[in-house]
Amino acid sequence: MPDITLTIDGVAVTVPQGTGLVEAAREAGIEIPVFCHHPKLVPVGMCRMCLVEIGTPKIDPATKQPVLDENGKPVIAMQPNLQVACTNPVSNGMVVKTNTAEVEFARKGVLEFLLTSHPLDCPVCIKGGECPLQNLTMGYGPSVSRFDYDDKVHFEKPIPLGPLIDLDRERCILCSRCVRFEDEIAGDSVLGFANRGRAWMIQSKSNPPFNSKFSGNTVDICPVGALMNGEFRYAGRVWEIKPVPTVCPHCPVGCNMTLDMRYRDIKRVQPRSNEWVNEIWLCDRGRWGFHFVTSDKRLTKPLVRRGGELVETTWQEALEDIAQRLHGVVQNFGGNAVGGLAGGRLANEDLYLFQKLFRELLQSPNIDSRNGTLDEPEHDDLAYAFGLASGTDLGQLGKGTTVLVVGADPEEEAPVHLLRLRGIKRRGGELIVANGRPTKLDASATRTVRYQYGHEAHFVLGLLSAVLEGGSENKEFVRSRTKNLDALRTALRPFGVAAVAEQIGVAADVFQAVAQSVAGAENLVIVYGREAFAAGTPLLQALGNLALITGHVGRPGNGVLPIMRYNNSRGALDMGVRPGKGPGYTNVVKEGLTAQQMVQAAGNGKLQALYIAGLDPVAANPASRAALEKVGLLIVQDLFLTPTAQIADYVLPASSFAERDGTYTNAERRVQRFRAARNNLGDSRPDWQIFAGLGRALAAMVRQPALDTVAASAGKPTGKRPAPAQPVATARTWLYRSTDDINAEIVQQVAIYKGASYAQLKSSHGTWGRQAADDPVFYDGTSYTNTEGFGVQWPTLAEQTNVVFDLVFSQPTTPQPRNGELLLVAAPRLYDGGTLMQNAEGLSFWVAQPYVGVAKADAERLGIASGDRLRLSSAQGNVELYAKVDGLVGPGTLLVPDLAEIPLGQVQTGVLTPVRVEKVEG
Amino acid sequence: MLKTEELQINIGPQHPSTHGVFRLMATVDGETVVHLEPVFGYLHRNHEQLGEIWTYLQTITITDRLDYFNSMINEHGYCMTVEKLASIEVPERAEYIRVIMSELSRILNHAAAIGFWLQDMGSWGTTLMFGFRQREMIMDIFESVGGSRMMCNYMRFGGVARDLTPNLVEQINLFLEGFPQFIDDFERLMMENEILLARSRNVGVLPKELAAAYSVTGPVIRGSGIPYDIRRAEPYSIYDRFAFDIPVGSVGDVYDRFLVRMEEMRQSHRILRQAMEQLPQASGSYINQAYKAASKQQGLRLPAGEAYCRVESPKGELGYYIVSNGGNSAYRYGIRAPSLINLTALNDMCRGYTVADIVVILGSIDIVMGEVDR
Amino acid sequence: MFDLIKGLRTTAKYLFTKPVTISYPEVKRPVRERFRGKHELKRYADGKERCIGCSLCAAACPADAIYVEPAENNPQNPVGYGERYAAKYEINMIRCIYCGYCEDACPTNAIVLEHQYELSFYDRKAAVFTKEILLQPVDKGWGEPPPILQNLNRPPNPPAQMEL
Repeated sequence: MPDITLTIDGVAVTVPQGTGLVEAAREAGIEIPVFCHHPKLVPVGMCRMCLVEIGTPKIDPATKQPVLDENGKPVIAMQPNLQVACTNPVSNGMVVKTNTAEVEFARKGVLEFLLTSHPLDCPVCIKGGECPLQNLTMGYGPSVSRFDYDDKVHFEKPIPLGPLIDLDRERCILCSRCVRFEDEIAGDSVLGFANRGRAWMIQSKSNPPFNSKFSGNTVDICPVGALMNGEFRYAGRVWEIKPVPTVCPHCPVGCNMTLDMRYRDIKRVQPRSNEWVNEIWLCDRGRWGFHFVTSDKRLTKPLVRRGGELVETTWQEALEDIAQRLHGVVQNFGGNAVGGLAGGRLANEDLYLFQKLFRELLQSPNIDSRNGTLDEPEHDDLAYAFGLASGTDLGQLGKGTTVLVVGADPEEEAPVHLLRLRGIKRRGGELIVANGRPTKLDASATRTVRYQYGHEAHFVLGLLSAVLEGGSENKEFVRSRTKNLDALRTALRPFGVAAVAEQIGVAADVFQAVAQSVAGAENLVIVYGREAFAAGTPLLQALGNLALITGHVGRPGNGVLPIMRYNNSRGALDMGVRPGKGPGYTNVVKEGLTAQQMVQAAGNGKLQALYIAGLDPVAANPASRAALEKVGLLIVQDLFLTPTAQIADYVLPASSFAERDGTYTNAERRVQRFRAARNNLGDSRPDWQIFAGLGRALAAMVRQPALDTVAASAGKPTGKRPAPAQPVATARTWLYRSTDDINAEIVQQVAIYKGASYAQLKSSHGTWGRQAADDPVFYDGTSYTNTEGFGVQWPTLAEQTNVVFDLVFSQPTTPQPRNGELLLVAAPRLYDGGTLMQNAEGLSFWVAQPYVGVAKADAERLGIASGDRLRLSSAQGNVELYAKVDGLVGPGTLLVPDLAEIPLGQVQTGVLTPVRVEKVEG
Repeated sequence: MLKTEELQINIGPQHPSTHGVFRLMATVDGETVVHLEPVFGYLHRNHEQLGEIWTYLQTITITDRLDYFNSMINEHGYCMTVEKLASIEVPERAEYIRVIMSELSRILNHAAAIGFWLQDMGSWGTTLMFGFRQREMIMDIFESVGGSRMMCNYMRFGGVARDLTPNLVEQINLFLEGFPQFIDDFERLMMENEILLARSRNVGVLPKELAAAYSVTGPVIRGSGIPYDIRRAEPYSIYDRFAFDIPVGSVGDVYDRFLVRMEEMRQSHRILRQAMEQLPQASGSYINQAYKAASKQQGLRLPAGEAYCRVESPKGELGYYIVSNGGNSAYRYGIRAPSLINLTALNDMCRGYTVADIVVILGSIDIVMGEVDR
Repeated sequence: MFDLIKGLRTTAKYLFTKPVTISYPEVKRPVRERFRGKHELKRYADGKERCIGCSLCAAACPADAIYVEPAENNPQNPVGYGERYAAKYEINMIRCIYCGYCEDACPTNAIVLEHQYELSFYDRKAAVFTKEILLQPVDKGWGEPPPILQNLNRPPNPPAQMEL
């Protein structure tokens, strides 16, 4: 876009076309006070605070040239009245005056007017101290009001606008920032205005009230104390709060946020500005879901099972005993008899040490980051190769970008991605949503595709066919960077557009149109989520092929974005907590057991010791309890006494994210640092410290011969005394003093993390947002200075231009429900009522009641009405739920929200479980 | 000739005559001091760092705790620096009140300092209490005007916290009337005392050149014969309006410093008399009202820049240096503490004298550890 | 020798003057009006607390001696005027430097440094004065609440709606 040069208060400034005057002035270091204007929202000019004098060069009507004065300078025609700066875009040669007497008089007037209905209760207002109205009144306002205090309107206050937000109508200045945020950014049109004149007010239009997953952001952008964080209202004043930078532990978006500490208590969570990740937004779960940290159910002491009871012990004793026993198992049964599960909730540093502990010290290849349930998807390797190329900023993509969302429900799985994807659409990009059921993103989509569950892969294969049939593949890219296209063409023959269209009930022209949009787009982002993972490798492979043949990999703005289960599931894979692949997706010698196989091996006695950190297999699948009980040595490391921990031999209390340092890697592969805000609870320790302590104890025990025998049994029998395959661990190598040490080792050892040293994670420059505390006020109180940097996105394989990819075809399978059986689909829920939502009272309102969604056609056929109690049974077991007949799923499918309360593991036999449905009385 | 050996002895840090927690590492040869090394820092409170964290207004309260005998003068210097940086005008009346408080503070300090010094020399109790009685009367005045006897926290940017009421003026006048009697008595009591003369004359001599080279200030440099006084060298506030003399010594010994202090009390009294006379005619309020109102609304944010201001504290030249980056607390904040600088000359003053003289010489410098260590 | 006698004469003269010392604690020296001693949390004449729990005193405090934990007033039985009051109000008397800035900062004149100066404790915990210690007795309140606070408690008067 051409740049525009204009003069503001005598300062010449050059900005891109389309920039608002307020932003242009900010570039020039001049502050234009605003209330209703927000850089993320469309300006409306409601508050009249930004009035300035604007003049444009006088144009001679005859010549269409600017009129010049005697000095050769263009004559400026000032507009007769003051103009609002926010809605006026810049134009060449424009002259703006923001500091004239007239402007100052107008500002005084506006402020005096705004304050006529404002209660001026700053000392008791929770916004006091970070309030734009307060600041601007101090800066620009009149010191006295001519308005009689007794004449002020007095409303009943505060009234709850939703379960989490309170509204004080007296303080509201009706800037409509909240309404516009919900409409424009969040896409939940739940707020609106009511009445007129003095009685004009904000109200919630939805039932239940303020039904949005982003309601907390309205509090941040509210320029007064009208919208209040209900929990924070009496928690202290903002200047007493010390924000500690951290990263949200709830979902893989990895929103940057701060834990606002008052002494030792977390008082609230605020977003931290990071244009690459969450801009300035947070979802409500991230904002109010921190209470599990202070739960009184947290473990505070290491526990050991003595005489059938878990009793308290000391760390030294516990670690030494565990080391001793693990060492014994390894000596007697070999490393293969030891298994380890460490979940994606742990930080990268923990996970690295975990795999190092197993691979190096215990000589065990059996590690995984999954729960071992039957519906567990394959590990995602797609993002390693074709992930969103480093340098991608979803917040910048727009026109020319196509986003293909397959089998994902961003609102429930990764809420802030919803905002970012909506943003791409808003800026002119295409948003294609394909799913087996309606999701919220449908409303924002340019095109929705509804396939039947079980046919996800068919849909994408159809797309592939459409691209290839139409000849719209990126031929140059296909030639230089891929191989085996012909084999793919052959394999795709049964999946021609016409055939697939008929099979899955999607019109053929939909395939053509989507294929055209995908292939023709400048940028392509493929988003897939938990439901896509459930469809398994065929779908992922097909998506990868789609990105490859259209050449949409390895360039900023292109690639796949998998939304995984936990916040650091990506980090777990990066760190090699999985069988078969080491840190950085390197191949390891020994293929180990997967989580499922480990549970099985435990059941048939092959696994002698199992170490579970941050995972809960028993809760995920109650059937695995029996298997795990057979394990000779079960060690569980967690925040809570989970069902798995209850059957463990040792329970080690771990620190929560608020009590420790570390890094998480988000879905976009951005490594981000978080910091400790509180002291460890009781005797709990950060996970890495526990692993390191165990490592030290083990390293002291593992003598050379022991390692040799293990290595010999693993290696080829050469007759000679074999050299140890791995470097012999010494106590020295397990001396990690802080996460910095581990990070240094990761940077050294893991190729893809080469650029992710703590120093590099800290870099923060070049993006728009509040960078310094004294930056002109735009979003006061909204976002804190980002002192922790923006993190580092590690480069994908596709970014290395010499890598050639194989176009592999993987045959899709479809679950075949027998007669009368329906397919059980678990729909992810943001408010799942799980362990991380403990104590979050505000959020508990939003946790859905357990139910099973039945399609109308099925309901009629089976004679089911809403409220009937249904028993769903499979080969695995059964579960009873109340039916809710809705149109959310197609016939033949049952939709069950993935709530902690529903023991879905009891029935699931695989990723999509065919279940029998019968009505029960009750 | 006896063969002697040098011996190192520690005086302090817990010693009654070291005026606080202060340690002297004395190398002695028999009774004679060969070398003396002052060791301090026991009372370090991060004063300057605190001043960079606290707001400007809050920092006034810790300047009280620098030289805790002279909270008024400390505040005066600090407020002047901030006023210089922020170009805040101080009304005439406020200046008069400040000068009155400063000079009262000087008398207070000298009365106590001489008392302590005499006590160090062995005049147990009597002389100290003599000085303390005057000090008590002044502290009573401070309590009346500022609300606290020692940590007055009375001065504000643009003036002082509260006005002098007629009652208070009367109280000060009453004190001034009685003061000459005290100083005469004190002189009669001590000035020509045989013991005092024996112990202080030609003891701890600091020659003129050395004094200047050490950049010592206050009664120490004036005792050495250099008439250097900020009030005259670089008149601040309204000191150019008053007639007063600057007493100087001739030898530069301990006795000279004692005499200078005695005379300075008289001169302060002289200034006070003039100030009290002129006070009713002084224009303006006790504080810059316009600024007070503005700062209530805007808070105090100093423009970016730096300023240095110095005042004549009873110990010497007290300087404040503030660098502002536009915020509400100093970016850099430093103090030139007279006690500390005067202390640097201690080694040269003591060398060659006996161990018993150390205490007398130290007492004559008049240090306050709160200011030395900060 | 004569010098000594000269000095002694002065001493002798003072032997016959009245001593200026006060035998504390039997005799207590009255403090001056502006004296800054122990804090007191004041009440209005009607017995309601003046403190609105705004924490401005804590913000002004250079020594970080004040801790305020606000809470919501129960409208049926309010502790003070307005929606907020101090559920916890603690001053650490060891930290306090008696500068009086809290007094200056208080928007409702709730906290005042009074004339009590005998502040000694047997342990550090006792030096943290709680609200109960600081609060004035109910019958010792003074003054009417300012109109801005009185207005908070009047019934809502939303503007009349035009029937459309």
